[in-house]
Amino acid sequence: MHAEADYSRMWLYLYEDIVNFGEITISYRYPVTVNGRYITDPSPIPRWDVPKLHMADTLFLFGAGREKRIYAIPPHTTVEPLEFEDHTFRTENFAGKKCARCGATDTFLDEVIDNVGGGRSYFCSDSGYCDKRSEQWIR
Amino acid sequence: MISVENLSKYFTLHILGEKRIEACRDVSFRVPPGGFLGLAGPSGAGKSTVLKCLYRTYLATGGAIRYDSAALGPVDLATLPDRAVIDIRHREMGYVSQFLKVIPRVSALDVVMEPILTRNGVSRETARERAIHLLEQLRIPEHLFDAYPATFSGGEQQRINIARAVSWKPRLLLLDEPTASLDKDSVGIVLDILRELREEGTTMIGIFHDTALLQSVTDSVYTIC
Amino acid sequence: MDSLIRIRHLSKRFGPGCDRCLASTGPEHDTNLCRHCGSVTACNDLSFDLFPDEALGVVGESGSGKSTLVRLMHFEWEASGGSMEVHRSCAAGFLPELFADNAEYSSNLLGLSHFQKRQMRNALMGIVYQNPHLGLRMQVSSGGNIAERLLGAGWRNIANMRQRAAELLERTEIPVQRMDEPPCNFSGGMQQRVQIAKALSNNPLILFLDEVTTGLDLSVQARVLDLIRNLRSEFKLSMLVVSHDLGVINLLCQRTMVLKSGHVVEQGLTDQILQDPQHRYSQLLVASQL
Repeated sequence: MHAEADYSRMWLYLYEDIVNFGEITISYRYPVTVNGRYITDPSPIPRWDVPKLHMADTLFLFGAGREKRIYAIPPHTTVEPLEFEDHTFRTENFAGKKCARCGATDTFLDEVIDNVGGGRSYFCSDSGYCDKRSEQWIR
Repeated sequence: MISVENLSKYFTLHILGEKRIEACRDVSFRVPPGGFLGLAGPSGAGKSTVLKCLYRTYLATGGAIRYDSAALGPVDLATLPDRAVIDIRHREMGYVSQFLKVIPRVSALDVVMEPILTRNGVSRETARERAIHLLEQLRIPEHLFDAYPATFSGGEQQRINIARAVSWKPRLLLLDEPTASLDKDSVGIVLDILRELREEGTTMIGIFHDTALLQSVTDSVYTIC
Repeated sequence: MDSLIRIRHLSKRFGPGCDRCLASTGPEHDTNLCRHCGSVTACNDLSFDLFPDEALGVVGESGSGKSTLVRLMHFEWEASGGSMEVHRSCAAGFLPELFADNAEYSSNLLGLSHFQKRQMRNALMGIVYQNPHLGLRMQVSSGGNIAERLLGAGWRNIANMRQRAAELLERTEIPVQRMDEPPCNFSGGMQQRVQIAKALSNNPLILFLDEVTTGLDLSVQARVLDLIRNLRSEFKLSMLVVSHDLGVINLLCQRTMVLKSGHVVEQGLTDQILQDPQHRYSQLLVASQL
């Protein structure tokens, strides 16, 4: 796949997502092109943080335990999320959103899109903190 | 235009213990440009075999078939490479068999139009007009134009067959009993069409079961025995 | 007219091979299996040309090497020997390095890197398999199956890809409103037509048809064959039509090659092969058909 730069399967996945849900629903492992050549999914970085990989000062190391592989994105390297001309990459918009569970407005949120209805809801990314707040709420 | 020299054809049937069947031997004749040669002889003498060798449906066993091609110059149809034969068939050599052999599920009008469209480089409209003219001339009822010829009567099929073969005005036309299943009136129409085609310069070689007919339409006869 | 593709001495052997393989296989031995080393010589010394805008038939029984030939030409399997060259006119534009100065034909494509082979395949070739599972992703939408090829060729606009997919599906008589359904929902004949749409999506010069109507009902078979016939005159494609069915070959092809135990035993005009077969095996094939 990498040797022949044959990434049409990854692209096809995004195409199907758009056709089925009207947009790309991937919330983490969003595929990116590194240095204009290699496609990788920077798991477990959420989509929100993908733009930070681009021309970063840091070296990123990703471990894929089951595949027994380590991936690296070198510093000062272009990292571009896959996108279509008419469906560009977007990060989640959290302005004015609150956690559907604990009601927090001051936390990092995750966007969850319902695979059946296509509805959108938001939850705290830090589920431990969210649990704690929820317990307090109930009390 | 075309000159056949000592043409012979044997079939070797490998699956029947290498049995050899002689279909024709030492056939030699010559047809000038614009001429019409009739092939005569008892049934089984090899008349159809000769036509099929000329058209390359059969591979000649011996002899030469020298043809002055408009596109390729002088060639020997007995040994010419396949691709060149296809080229000659496409551009200048037509063949009417005894039976209609057309593509299934194609309408009568399309059967006749198709060679005009692919060979003469005319518009769809012109091709359609010429095809309709021919079908009318051959008295094919209009309601059959868009029907499939496979469902037609023998005589109708044969007339479609002739219309298809003459529609694109080939330079050389091989006719294997084109009038065999036609009534007298239809035979007359077909002969008129062939006459028109000759006036436009088509050279012809034909087999006719009716000796009187053979004598009247051709300008020389070669008898195979 | 120059040929589009030149195949010379193409061979494929499965197994270790030995120096008696060739002497103990072939049509005269009625096998492609070497009794000394157990290797299979699937194709041996095949040489032929494929011309522009022609349909070349390949007939033979199963095990004659027909499908192997297609897989070698489509770069799915590595050949054991021989060469495949394309005419300058169809590939010099995107792989100029394959053509020496003024050379009419490319260097041997069988020696290209995987990457170059993929480029060549994406730009020039389309394939329709007997088994739609080989040519389609059954769980992905039909439009997506077509989009996959377009994506491979660098398309990056969803609306454009959907429009192209809709055109192709319409042309192959699949209702466009079903384009977002996966092929596993479709009948066998429809799946074949989706495969054809997919194969045509990159406007190939060469289309490989590997037993495309085998196993379909007669009426469905007729519809698929009619479609292929119309597409050929419309798209000016060259086709390699592999079939064990002489009726299919007769309908689609002007020239035909007869394969037996990995060898070409005869090639000629299709009507000549059918009415005046020369080789013992061709005669047997024609006699069995009637």
